[in-house]
Amino acid sequence: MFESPIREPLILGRKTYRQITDDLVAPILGPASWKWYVTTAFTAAVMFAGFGAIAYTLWVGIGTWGLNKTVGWAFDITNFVFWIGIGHAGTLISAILLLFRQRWRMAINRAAEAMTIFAVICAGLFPIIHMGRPWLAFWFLPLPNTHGSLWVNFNSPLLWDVFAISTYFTISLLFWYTGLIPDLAMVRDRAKPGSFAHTVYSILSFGWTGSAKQWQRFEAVSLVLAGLSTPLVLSVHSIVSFDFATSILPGWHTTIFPPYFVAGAIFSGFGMVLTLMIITREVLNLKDYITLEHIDAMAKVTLATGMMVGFAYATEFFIAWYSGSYWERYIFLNRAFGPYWWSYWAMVSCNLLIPQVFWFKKLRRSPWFVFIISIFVNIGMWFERFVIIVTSLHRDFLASSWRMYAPTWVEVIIFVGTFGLFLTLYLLFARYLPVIAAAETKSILKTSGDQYAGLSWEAYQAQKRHGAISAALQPAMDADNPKS
Amino acid sequence: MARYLIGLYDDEDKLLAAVEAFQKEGVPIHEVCTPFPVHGLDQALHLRKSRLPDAAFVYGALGTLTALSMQIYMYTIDWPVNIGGKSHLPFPSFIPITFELTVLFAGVLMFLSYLFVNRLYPGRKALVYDPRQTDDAMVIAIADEKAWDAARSLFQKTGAIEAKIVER
Amino acid sequence: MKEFSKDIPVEALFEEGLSANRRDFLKWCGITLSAAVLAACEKTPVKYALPYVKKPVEHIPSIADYYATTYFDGQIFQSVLAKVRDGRPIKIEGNPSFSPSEGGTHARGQASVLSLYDHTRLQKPQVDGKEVDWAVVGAALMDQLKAQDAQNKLIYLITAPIISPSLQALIKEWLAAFKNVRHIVYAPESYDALLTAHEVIFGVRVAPTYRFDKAQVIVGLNADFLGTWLDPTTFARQWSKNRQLYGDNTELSYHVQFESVPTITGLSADRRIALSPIEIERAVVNLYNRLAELAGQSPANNDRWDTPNGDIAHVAKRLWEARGKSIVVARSQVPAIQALIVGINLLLDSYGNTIFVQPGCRLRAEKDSDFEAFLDEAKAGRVGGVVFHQVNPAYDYPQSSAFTEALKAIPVSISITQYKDETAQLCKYVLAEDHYLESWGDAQPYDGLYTLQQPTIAKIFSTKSFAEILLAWLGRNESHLEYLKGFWEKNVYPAYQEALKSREGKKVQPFWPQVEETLPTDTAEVFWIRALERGVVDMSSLPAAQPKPNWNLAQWTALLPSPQEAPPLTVYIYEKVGIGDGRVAGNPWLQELPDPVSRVSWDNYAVVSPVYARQVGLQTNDIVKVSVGDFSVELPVYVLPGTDAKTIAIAMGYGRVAGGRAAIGAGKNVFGFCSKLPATGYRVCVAPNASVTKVNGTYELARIQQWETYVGREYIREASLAAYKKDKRAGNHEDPKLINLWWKEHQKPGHRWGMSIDLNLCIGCAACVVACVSENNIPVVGRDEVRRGRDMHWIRIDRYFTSQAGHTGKPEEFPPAPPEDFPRAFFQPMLCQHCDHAPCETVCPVLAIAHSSEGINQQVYNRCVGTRYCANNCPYKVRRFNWFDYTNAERWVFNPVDELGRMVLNPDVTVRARGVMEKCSFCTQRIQAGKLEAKKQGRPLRDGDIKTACQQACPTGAIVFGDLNDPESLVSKRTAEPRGYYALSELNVRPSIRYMVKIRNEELPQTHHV
Repeated sequence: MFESPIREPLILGRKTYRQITDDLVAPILGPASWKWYVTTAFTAAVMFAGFGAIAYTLWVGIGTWGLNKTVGWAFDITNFVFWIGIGHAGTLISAILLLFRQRWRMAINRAAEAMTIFAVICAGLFPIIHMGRPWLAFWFLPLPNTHGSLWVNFNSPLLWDVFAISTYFTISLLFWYTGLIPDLAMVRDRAKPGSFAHTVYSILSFGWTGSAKQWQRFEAVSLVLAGLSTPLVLSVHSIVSFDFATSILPGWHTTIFPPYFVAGAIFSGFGMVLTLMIITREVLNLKDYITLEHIDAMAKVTLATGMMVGFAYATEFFIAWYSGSYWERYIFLNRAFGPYWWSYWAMVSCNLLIPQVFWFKKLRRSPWFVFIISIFVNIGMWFERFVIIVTSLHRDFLASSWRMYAPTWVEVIIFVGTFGLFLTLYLLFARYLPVIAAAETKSILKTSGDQYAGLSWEAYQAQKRHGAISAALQPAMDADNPKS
Repeated sequence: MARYLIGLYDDEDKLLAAVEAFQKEGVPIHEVCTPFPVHGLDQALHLRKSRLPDAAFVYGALGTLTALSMQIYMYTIDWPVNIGGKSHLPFPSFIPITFELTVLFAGVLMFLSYLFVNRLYPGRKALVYDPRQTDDAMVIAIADEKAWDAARSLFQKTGAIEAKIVER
Repeated sequence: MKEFSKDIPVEALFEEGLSANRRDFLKWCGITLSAAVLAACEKTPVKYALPYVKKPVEHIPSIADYYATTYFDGQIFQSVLAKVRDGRPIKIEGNPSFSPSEGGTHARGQASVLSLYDHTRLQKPQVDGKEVDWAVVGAALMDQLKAQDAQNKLIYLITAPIISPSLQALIKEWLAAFKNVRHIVYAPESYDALLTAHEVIFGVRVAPTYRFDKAQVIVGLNADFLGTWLDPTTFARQWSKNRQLYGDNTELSYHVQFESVPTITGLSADRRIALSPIEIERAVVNLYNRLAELAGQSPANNDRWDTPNGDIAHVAKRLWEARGKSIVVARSQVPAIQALIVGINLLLDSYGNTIFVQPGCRLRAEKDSDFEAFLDEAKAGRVGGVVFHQVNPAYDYPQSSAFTEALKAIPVSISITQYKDETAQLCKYVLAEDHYLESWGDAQPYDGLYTLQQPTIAKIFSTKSFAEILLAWLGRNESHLEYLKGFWEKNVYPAYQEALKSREGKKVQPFWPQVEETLPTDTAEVFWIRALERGVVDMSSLPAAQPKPNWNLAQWTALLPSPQEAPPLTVYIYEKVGIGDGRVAGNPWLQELPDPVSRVSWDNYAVVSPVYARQVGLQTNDIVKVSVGDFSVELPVYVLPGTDAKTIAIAMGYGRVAGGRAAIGAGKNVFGFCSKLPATGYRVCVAPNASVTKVNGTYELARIQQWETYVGREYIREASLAAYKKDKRAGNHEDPKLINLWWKEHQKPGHRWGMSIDLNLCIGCAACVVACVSENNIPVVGRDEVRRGRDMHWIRIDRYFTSQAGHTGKPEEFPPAPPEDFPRAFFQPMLCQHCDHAPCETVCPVLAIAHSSEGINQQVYNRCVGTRYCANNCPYKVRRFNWFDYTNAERWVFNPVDELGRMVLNPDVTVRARGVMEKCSFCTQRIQAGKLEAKKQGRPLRDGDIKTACQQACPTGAIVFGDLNDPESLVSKRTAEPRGYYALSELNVRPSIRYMVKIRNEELPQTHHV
């Protein structure tokens, strides 16, 4: 495959293998800063507030939410789709970029995959708690049951969701852990033998040694899992979009939804990755690994996907007009200019207009600016789902049942609570697991470390034949290549 | 309690050269451990290509069959119900779940086989010749004591940073 | 139970040594076990379940019996069948044997069963608020009254109209026991003027009997005769007779309504003209004048006023052309106006053709001046005792303070009532009265038409019927039944024999259509039993001639108000279908029932027209202070299209402070706006020269429907009669070509249940809604939940207005135009359409909805997990979700799920749990019952064997349910009618309910449909 002859370095600071190890192991085996404790305590508190609100809902009933006979879904499913979308970037980065041999993914895939898993956990909450009788959630599974052998309805997109989400979660988890094992072994061998950490990481690392055979199988498995995840990630959000696309409501009944939702998912996912990574590289001091180069690349992806969803918005309107169906025309005009106009324009500005600033390289490469934009992206994508669900429902066919919807404090707290859950999990991850795939990073050190980068590919091969590159050659090469 | 002569390298290219040398001299290599995947190492060691991907395909096929038979049995044979006037064999409706189960089976079973063939499981005692093998050093371990002398010289010749005998 | 008073001699047993072998051991185990079992039996909660030890032969447990009886609350009359399950009435149905309404019902009749199980009813007689035994208020109380009488003090009996002949006789007997006694009839919604007019002109103080079924041209002036006026159920039935466009019939009656505030009558009319109450009176005069001219007689005065469209002239012309086949009715408490109405009908030759003084209607008998006289006497301290029955002046008399004062001056005050209402609270003695389902009685709603009332349940509390109380007071120790039976043997039985004789050889025609064969008259006993069984005795006769009218125009013109421009703002007090004058306000079903016109439940409000609202910048939910003279009240505003711009209409019957659990705290009492005409003392509900000031803040009305127009979408279809005559599919469209994705439809070999709803017949009276609530145990969720849009009704009556955009509104237009200021309206009953391609079924993940082989969309409550996906995907939005546990009697106080209230639940219908979805089931329990009955009789189901609750309740027969596989069934025939269409047919969901285009006997403006 094509390799650009001149590559930007992806690892800065003239790292050696040992330094990489130390950089990643230090925050794990070393003591945590008080900042970490404070933040974690806070997010955990938010999380438990959310759990409280959920408990209240379960005790009293869904009536504690703002839903009504016309708007049967609102915050619940909006949040579900929102979180599922967040997850997609992780799989995309680890799987699809792996297939495309994008080396820059290596610095972020570990964290992105973790994010995927945590996001799916948050998402998974909602389909269960939004049910009238959540304690019967297991009826979603095709089990022989007390109603005779009454099975589940394979026509229902909700059932497809059950399979899609659980598969997605499982595969992501396996993929993530496969990559973790060698790095856990690395942590294990840095820990003092006999220490608690050593025991724990020994158990977690499954007795990995790093033998040639293990590595060979490791790569085989990684590749196949990547191959599986790629269609999976596309299918999951397509199926989520079927919840709407297969129904008959104007505004839901739209064939554009699967690609539109997938693009949106990647968009929102990258938004969230940027948000988290920019914080992580600051806090854990990983600027050498998560470089401006990475942020720049992710910003580009965000811009591209953002414009894809923008295109989808436009298409929807065109088709609504072109269809000549007054149901369709009304629902879309009502989205943009009806009582919920503000949510629609919040969506458009956050998802389509604001990301346009990423056309400018300077802005792409100023982390804090990108951070702010990424927040907008998150907000915008939440509103996209809100717009799709609520504005389509609240004024459908019979004008007699047109109604407004407004959330109650219970719904809001549950939503905020899921952020607590998500961040708590992420903080624990950042504290106890290597946030960067060490082995993979080491494997690209010689191709992407700044002391090597800047060489042309051929020159590099030549150097390889002579053995390690000596520092003596370095200045000359830098001279050759203004880029480094 | 076995004894091994191990040589440590700090660079994957030296390692590859060394492995080739050992192969030429016919010195039997017990095992090579590296902190990260070294490309070309498996060829150098003449390792047989992993068959896990083939297995994955079989698992996937199994998933497909399971999904289809389950849905057709439950929905079409065991208790056909009139749902929204749809057919009792609504094939398009079966596609999503069939796909998901295919992926699920392939992924999960392959992962399990991967752990199995690598003898990886929680709490397994790892055979670590030298802690640096998960850090920055690549280890070539020679188990056959008769070959040690030959190995030592080769280690020196191929620029190992260190060679020693370990008991594991 | 004392089997084991002596201990089992265990020791003894064991002394015999445990030689006791295994068998013995087991025996002892056996004994101990059975002992335990028997001991346990001792605590059987007989309180809740009482098994028949000796089963009464005529009763089979769990099989419902129907008892014919009579509902009359002092306003609305119904001849009904009470459905009794295992000794408890659970449902009220119309009595088909009652020929005037032929089994139609009114929402209030349907709801009446609920108040039977109301624990807030009076449970015992009270003296000074303390519960006492009946002995205390029996003969003893009578003696007190006699004592007062002895001191030449007046004794007053104040009642609602008494339509029971037996009771009238008893009252006469009771009155005879006093020297100075008066029986006066009082009603907050007074028909005195109507009665007086007829008294003066025809010499009989009676409301006439109207026969709308014989009228080709019908003109109503503020008379909501389909909803509240006089005998609405009967009138609705009669009205519907000339609105049936089936087969080759292309004739409709022509119905014009002049009214100040939209009522279901006006919205169902062919032409509707909004006028202020003052203008209504003027319209009456001018209508008379124009007709007089046409008849070549002298007009009432020289006023020649007309609406901008010349409606009065137009109407006069149409009426005149239909002389003898026309009818004019008005709601006005001004005698002169009612007299002119009589005059109009005389000019139109209505009397004897469409209006009858003989036989007369006995439902009203009030005389306002009597009550004024009573107050004066009382104030003067000349009243020694007063007995109230079915009246509540403390609440509904305009100057209630005056009444309260007067009452203070009366030593012996007695109230005979079911609730401790506002009046009862002021009375020393409060006598707990039966619910009508607990007691005997009879009624004569129309001359010669008798109905019987029989108890359907043992008295729940220590209560007595009015007759029983009187019997006790008179010291007659016979039961109510004995008295009633005796009365009937003496009076009704012979009279009936007479009537039958007179009918022989067609000498005399029966007045009412004979829906059933005559009763056997072999013996009084047989007659009594069969009469009781049927509930109706029709000895009506069509008189050869009506009494000669003594029509003296001058006498009335003197009393006419001088013709004047209408004042800028007039308060008009009207009745709502559900609540009426407030006597039934305690009934939660009626409170939650949205008003058919405004679609608001649980409150009254100031209805203003959009025109006025624009002028002064008012919006729905704003609060205004409405004042006339020194009476004022603060109310939320409801902007209702079709309201006259110079009118502020407010419903009476709200703002109760006592009586009934749901009555208190609902709306405001506005009887203060009513006043009495100077001198004559007639009570009027029109208050001119009102002033309105906006008050800060808003009040959110509990609106079930929030969008007024149908946005020109095609689930509402209409056409003019002219167009229909040209093309029977006028206003209708070919259904779009529907493609089925699957190669074959599912077979429905046996029955295929379907329904037909005729928008032309639906008057929106909402009887079906209450019937459905009663039949299907639908919870009452209260004002707040309705505000949140969580009403639970399975059938709702959507009310749509035409919009300003080309009258019907263009569906493409955005934003959708607001309704016209004076729109045409449509009532569309909306319930589960039982689609063959149901979108709800497809999306349920757990198969909680499946389609039956008879085409019913079956919701399986115990399988439902409550994802609400089905509700989202239902294009008709008819699915209802149990947001809370509505069986929690502490929290849902209006929901009848407390110990007593639970008895009203229909045992054939599951009470739904929290978190499950529910919806119309096509009354599947009735379908099963019908099949079972047919099977037992070993015959195939006949069309009409199975009636859904809504169909049974419908007074106009707009709803027809049946088997679409049976080509002969009525529903199949109607489905085949060219007027038929499916709502949202383009969605290809294949509904089982077919609506029929609304046809108006009027030229319609161009619509985008045509």
